[in-house]
Amino acid sequence: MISLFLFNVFILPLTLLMRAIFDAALQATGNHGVAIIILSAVISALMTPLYSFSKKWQQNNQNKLLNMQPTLSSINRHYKGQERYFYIKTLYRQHHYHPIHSLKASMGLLLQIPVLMAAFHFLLHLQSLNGVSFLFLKDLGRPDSLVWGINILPFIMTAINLFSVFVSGWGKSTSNKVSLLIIPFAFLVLLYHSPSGLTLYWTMNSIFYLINTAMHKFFSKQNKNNDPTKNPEKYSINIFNALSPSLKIYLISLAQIFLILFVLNPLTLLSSTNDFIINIPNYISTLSLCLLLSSLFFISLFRYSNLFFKKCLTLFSLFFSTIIFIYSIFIKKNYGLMDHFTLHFPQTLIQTPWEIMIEALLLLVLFVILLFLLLTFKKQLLQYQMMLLLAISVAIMIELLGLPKANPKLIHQPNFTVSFKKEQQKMLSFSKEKNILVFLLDGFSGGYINKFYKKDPLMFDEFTGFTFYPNTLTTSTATWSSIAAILGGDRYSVQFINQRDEKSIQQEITEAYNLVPSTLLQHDFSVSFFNPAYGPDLNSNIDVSDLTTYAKYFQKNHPFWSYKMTHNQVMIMVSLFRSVPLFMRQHLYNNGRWLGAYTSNHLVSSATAAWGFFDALIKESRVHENGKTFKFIHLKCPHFPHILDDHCEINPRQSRYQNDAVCALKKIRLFLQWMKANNIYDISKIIILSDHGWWAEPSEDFYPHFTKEIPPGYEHRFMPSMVQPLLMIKDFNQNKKLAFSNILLSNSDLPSMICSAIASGCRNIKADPTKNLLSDRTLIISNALIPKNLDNEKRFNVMGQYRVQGMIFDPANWKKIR
Amino acid sequence: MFTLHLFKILFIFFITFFFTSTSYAYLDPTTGSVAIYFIVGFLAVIFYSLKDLFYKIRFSSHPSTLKQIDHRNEHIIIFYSEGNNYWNVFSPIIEALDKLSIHCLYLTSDKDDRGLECPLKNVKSKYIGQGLPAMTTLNHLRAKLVVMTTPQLDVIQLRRSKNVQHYAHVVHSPVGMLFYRKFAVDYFDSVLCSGEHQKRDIRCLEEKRGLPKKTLFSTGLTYYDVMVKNLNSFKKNKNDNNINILIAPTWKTTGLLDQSGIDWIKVLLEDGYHVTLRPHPQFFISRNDFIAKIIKELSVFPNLMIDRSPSPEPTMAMADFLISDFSGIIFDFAFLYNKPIIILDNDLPLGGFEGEDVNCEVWEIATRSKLGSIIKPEQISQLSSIIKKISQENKTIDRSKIKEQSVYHFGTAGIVAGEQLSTILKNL
Repeated sequence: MISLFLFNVFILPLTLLMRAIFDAALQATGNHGVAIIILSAVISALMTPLYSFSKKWQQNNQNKLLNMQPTLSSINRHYKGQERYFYIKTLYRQHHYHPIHSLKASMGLLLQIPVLMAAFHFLLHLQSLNGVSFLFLKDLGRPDSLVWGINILPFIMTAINLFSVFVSGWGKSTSNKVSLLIIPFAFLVLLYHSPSGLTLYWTMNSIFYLINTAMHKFFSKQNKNNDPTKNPEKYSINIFNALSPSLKIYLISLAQIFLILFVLNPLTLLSSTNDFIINIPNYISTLSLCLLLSSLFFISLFRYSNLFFKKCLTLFSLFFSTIIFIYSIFIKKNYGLMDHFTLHFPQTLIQTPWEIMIEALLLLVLFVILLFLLLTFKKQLLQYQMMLLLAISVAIMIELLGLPKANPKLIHQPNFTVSFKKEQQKMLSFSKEKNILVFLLDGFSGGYINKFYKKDPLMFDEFTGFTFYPNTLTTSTATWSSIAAILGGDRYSVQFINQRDEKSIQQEITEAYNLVPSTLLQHDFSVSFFNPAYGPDLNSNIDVSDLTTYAKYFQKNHPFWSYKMTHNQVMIMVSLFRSVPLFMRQHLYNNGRWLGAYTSNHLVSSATAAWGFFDALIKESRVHENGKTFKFIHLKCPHFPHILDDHCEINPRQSRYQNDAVCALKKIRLFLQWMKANNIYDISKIIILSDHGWWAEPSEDFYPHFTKEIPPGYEHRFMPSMVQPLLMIKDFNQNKKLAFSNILLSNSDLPSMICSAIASGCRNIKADPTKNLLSDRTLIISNALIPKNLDNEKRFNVMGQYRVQGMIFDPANWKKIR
Repeated sequence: MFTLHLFKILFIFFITFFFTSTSYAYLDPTTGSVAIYFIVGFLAVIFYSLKDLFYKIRFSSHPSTLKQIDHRNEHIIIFYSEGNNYWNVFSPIIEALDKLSIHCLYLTSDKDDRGLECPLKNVKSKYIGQGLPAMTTLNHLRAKLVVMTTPQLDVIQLRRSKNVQHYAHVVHSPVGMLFYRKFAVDYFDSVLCSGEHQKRDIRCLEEKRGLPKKTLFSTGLTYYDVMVKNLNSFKKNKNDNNINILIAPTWKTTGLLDQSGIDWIKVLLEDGYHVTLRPHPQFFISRNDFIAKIIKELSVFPNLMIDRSPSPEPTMAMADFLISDFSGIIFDFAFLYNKPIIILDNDLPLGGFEGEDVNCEVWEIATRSKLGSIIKPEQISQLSSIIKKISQENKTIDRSKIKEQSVYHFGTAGIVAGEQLSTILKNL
C-alpha cells in the first residue's frame, strides 16, 4: 500500500512526463531510436541543475567541515566527555552546521533516484519498442546480440561510464575508488539482458553525463574566482532559512493555495458527497507532476524577476491565498443541492451590480490591508502565514482520517471485484410464492409507449399480461413533489400536504415511504428499496440498496468508461468554485459546464448505477427467497443525463432521451424473459411507472390545441409530454398480449395497486381504481418549486395547479385552480 | 589490517548493491561515492542526535532550586557567583549599585560566601546550590540584567534564560581573553573589561567567528578596589631583615615546577632566603600527588613556608620578591606592591584556548618583560645571584604605564562598573 502510494507520488508523474516527451519526440521524428535519444537528452538537460546543486551542496558541506577541522581536532585533543561535546556543538552552531547537512548534501542523489527509476520503469515496459529497429540494433525491444550473440551495447555503456569516472576525478580514498568502479560494473550486470532500447537510453545518458561532467569541470576552472564553494557562508545549506522573507511569504502563500485548492477542498467535497468518481492514483500522479512543474515555474519566475516584480509576486500570492482561504473556509452560500454537477438554484449565482461593487470594494480593502501588513509587519505576517499553513495541514490530516468513513466508496473504488451486500442480495432475490415489483423509471413520458409500439411491436412481445394506461396524469411534475404521493397515495399529494401544513415535507415523504411497506411487512413480505429518493428514514426491516455497488458493477463491465468518466477535473473546478469571490462563481459554473471540465463523458458516470442495476438484475438475480417479496426500484432513467445511442451502447455524444427510454424497456424485457424462464412471472405483479413526464415529444393523443389552452407554465412543466407519466401494470397470472386502457389514473394510485395484491388491502389506502372503476373521477396536478430545505418547510410553493376530469388529452377537461 | 580492509570493501559492496540491487535503481557512476557519504552522514546524525538526547535527559533530570527564589517580581539585576573567592569582584559593584538605589539579587553556589551576609539595604542574597541544580536555576532566571564571572554562557550547561534581557560578564583577571577556554564570552551581550588588550582580543574573536559585536566597557578590575583598601592591613614587619621570596607557580605542566624542577628552590633555601611556596590552588585538585611529593621533599628546610590560604594578600605583603611563571598573581604583585618580579620564560601554549583560533597578537608575551625580569630556564641555577644583584641595585621600578594599559580605573573600578551597569539598565 505504502509502496504503491510512493510509486504514485514520485515515480508515476515522472513516467507520465517521460511518456509525454517520448511521444512528442516520436511524433516529430517518427523514429523510436531517435525518440529515445531525445528523451535521454531532455532528461539529462533537466537533471543538469540537480547535478549542479548536488555538487555544490556536497562541496559546500566539505568546505564547512574543512573550515572547522583545526578547531575540531584541537577540541578533541584538549577536552573530553561532556565539555568536548558542548564545544563541538557550539562550533557547529557558529558554522551553521549540523551533521544532518551531510544528508542534505546527498539530496542530489536522492532526487535523482526517482527520475532514474521512472526511466527504467518507463522504458522496460514500453511495448512499442518491440520489433522496431534502429541503426545496427535489430529490435529495440530485445537485447542487441550484436556479435556472436553477445550484447555489445552494455559494454559500450560501461566503457563510457568508466571514462566518466576518470574525467570527473579519480577517488581519493580506496573506498572512493572501489565505489566509483563498482557502479559501472554493477550496471553492466544489471542491464546486460535488458532490451536494447533501454541500454540505448542508458548509453546516451552516460554520454550526456560525460559531456556534462566535462563542461562542469571546464567552467569551474574558468570561474575559479567565482567559485561559490569558496564562500560557504553565502551559500548556506539551510536553504529555507537563507531565503528572503518575501520569498518565504511567496512560497508559503503558493503552498497554501495549492493545498486548499487541490487537497483540502477536494477532500471536503469527497467527504460530503458520493457524486464524484475519482481515479485516485491518476489524481495523485497528475497532481504531483503539476506540483513539480508549477514549482519550477513559480520559483523561476521569482528568481528571474526584478525587485519590484518580486514584491508584486509576493503581494499577489498573499492576496490570492488569503482570498482562497477566506472564501473556502468562511463564506458559504446556498446554491441548492448539486445534482450531476448541476446546481438546483443557479439563479442565486447571479449577483446584482450593487453586490458586485460591495464585494469588489471589500476585496480592495483586503488588498490594501495586506499591502500595509507586508510593508510594515513582514515578520509577523510570515509567522501568521506559517501558522495558517500548519492549520491547513492539520485540517487535511483530519479530513484524510475521516475520509474512509465518510466516503467508503472512494477508498474501495480501485478494487473492481464487486460483492453484493446482504441487502443487495435481497434486492436480487425473488420468491417462488409471490413477488410485487415496482419499476419507477424517473422522467419516462407515458406517450412514448405508443410511439415505440407503433415502431416496433415486437419489442413488447415479452410484456404479456401488461396493460398500458395512457390516460394517466402525474400527481405533480417533478420528483420532489410527486414522490410522496406515489408512495403514500393521494393523501401525500402537494395539495394535501399544503392543506395540512403540519409536518415538514421531509417528514411527509418519510411517512409516505413507510406507509405501504408497514402493511406488507405485517403480511410477511420481504421489502426492498433500490435508491429511495430524498433520503427517507425507512423502517429497519426494509432492505435498502444504494447506488454504489451497481455503479461499480457497471464499471467492471465497462472498464473503458470507468477511466473516461472520472471527475478529477470537475472536482478541481468545484474546489475552485468554492474558493473564488461570489461574483466570479457564475462564470466558473458556466451553466453547469464548469468551464469545459464537465464533458459529455461525465454524464456517463451519473447514469451508471441505473444501467449497472439493470445488468445485475438480468445476470445476478436468483430465485431463492422463501417468503413473499416486494421490491421498489427507482431508476434514474430515462432522466437526464442520457448516455445511450440507438444501439443502446454508451455514447454520450449521440445520446438522446428517447434512446434511454427505449433501452430501459429493452432491459426490462430481458428481465421479464428471465422471470418467465425461472417460472416466477405468473406469481409476480409488476408495475412500471414514472414520477413525471419529460420535456420531450408529446403523445399524439393530445389535442393539437392543448398547448394553446393550457399554458406550459413555470419551467414548461405543464407541457403535454410532462404531465403524462408512464403506467403499465401486470397483475398475477396475466399472460395476454399487451393491452391498452384509457381509464383515468394517476401515478399516485400506485399504493392502491400494490395493496390490491393483499386480500385485506392496506390501512388508509383507497381501493385499486383499475379494479373498482370510478365514475367522474377528478384528479389534481400541481407544479411546485423545489423546496430549499425539506426539513424546515411544510408547504410547497405551488406555481400552477389544475383539476382534470375524463381524458387528460382534451384541454377542455382541465380546470385551472391556481 | 587485512580484515579491516576486507570489511571496508564488503561494506562498500553492501552499500552499492543496496542501491542497485532492485531492478529500478540506477546511479550515475560518480554519484556512487555520494551513496556512501549519505550512509555515513546518516549514521553521524543518529549518533549526534542520541548524544544530544543523552545530555538533555541528563541535564533535565536535575531539579531546579528555582523555587527558593522569589520570582513574583522580576529582578532588576542578578549577580551570580561561583564561590566566596569572587566576593571581592562583586562587592565593589554591589556597593556602588546600592548607593544608586538599584535593587540586586546575589546568587551564589558557595554556602560560605560572604555575600550571603551582605548588610546592604538594596541587596538580597541566596544560596542556590552547586552543579547542575544551580545551572537549572540560572537557566530560568527572570531579570533585566544578569552579571557573572562564569564564562561560556550558552556553551556549556549554563544557557541564556529567555526571561533575561541582558547578560554581562565581569572579568576577574587582567589576563587576555586568548587564554580563556573555548567560546568563553561569545554569547554575552557585554563584557566589563580590565584593559584595552581584552577588548582587542574579543573583537578579534568576534570577527573570526562572524559574531555580532558585544558592548565592551572600560571598567578595570573591581577586586583591586578591595585590595587597595586592604593594603595597609598587611605589611612586612619592619624588624624583618630577611629577604622573603614568594614562589607562585601555575599548576599546568608548562609551569615553573615542571619546567625547572625544585633544585633551584633548594639552592635558594640553602642560601638562607626565606621562601614561601604558594602553589596554585588547582594543584591540590588536579595534581595533588605531584605537589605533595615536592612539599615533602622541601619540608626539611626550616626557612620554607607553604601558603595555602585563600587570599594571597598577606603573603604578597610580606614578600620582597616574586618568582613565577605566568600567573595572574604577577599582575597583583606588580600593581599593588610594585616589588621585583622574576618570571620564567616558559612557553605560553594556546592549545585548547581561544587564542588558538585566531591570529591575534598575544598581549601577555609582550607584557611579561615590562612586569619583571625574564629568566631563561637554563638561568634558573643562577637565581640566587640574580636576586642578590637586584636587591643590591635597589632600583625603583616604574610600572605606571603598563598598569594604566592593563587595568582601567585602578582602585575605583567598582563605582565605574556600577555606573556602566546602570547605563545598561537605562538602555534596556
